[in-house]
Amino acid sequence: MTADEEQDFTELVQRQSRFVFRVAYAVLLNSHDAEDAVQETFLKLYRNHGWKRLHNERAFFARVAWRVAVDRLSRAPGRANTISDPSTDRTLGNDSPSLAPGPEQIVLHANQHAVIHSMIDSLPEELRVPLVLSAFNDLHSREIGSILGIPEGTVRTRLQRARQLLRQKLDPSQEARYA
Amino acid sequence: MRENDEFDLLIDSALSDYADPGSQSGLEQRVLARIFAEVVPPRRRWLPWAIAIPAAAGLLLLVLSPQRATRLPPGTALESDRPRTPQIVSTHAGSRPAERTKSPVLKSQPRFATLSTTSVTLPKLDVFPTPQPLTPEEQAVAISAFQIPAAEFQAVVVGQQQEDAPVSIAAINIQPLEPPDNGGN
Repeated sequence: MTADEEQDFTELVQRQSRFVFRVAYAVLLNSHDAEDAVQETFLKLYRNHGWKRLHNERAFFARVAWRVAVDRLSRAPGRANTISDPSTDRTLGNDSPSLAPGPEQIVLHANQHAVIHSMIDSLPEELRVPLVLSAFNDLHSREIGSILGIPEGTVRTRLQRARQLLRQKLDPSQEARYA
Repeated sequence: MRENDEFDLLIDSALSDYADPGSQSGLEQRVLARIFAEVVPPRRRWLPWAIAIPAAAGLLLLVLSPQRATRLPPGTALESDRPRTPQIVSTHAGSRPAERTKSPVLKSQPRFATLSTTSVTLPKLDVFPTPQPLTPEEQAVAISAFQIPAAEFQAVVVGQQQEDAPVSIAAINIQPLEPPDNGGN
């Protein structure tokens, strides 16, 4: 690899590693495992020179990171992809938040993002990963579907379902409304 | 409905930084360090040393070689600085005793100077073969020659001075062989 190629690869890592981490974390729900997945993702790309011919970087990295993370999950069958108490494994937030029962208390809570992150962690993987990928503006439902290998309509359905579950967690009064 | 919009805004806001390690986490540096450590072949790790060590050794030699030349004692020049005229190191006995006594023998020559003596050519001598002192046997013959009687010495001297008279040899007539009478061999 030439010096220019190494420079390009370094810039690519600096540009996309955080995004890859977020996708991997959405699957693995563990920061250490997610970082290992980031290393594995870029190492694969470095070895097979696949990073030189990218058309849609975000979609490409989302697909590779998701596959690497799912493979890591399958290699560690003891680790559940949905956790019962996400706050125990969350190492990214500032503090481990306590789940407040009411929406007013949640909104007024200083770490409201951390609370919602914990709620996202508690979602099933099939809902959580499309929801996290949808947070990036340059990834639409069709691209998310191609990344995850599911139809675009299924992506939309899962996104609606994920948001509905989060709303119910934020406002328990809605649980009875949608039940 | 308005409540749902507020929740959606809250969810979107939370999603924007979900699982974000942050720019100060050093993730990029850790990823790059691990990748380059695993991918760079081992042979390239000692390649800089393989280049640097000979270069440093060459520089050291360049720096030290002039100092070594200046440290030599005066009068012991390098082989390249010496004059090309041959020097007499040693001569055989009996020839030019005056020169032999003055033959320069360097006692404190550098190591490479002793090796260079093999290339010194010896001067040509006036007499060949080289005169040698008489052996005891030769001296005895000389003494006995001078002690013989004068009459006999004169006869020897006269005999050596006389020219040799021509010697005439009678012709030899050899008859051819005749075959035997019986015809056999």
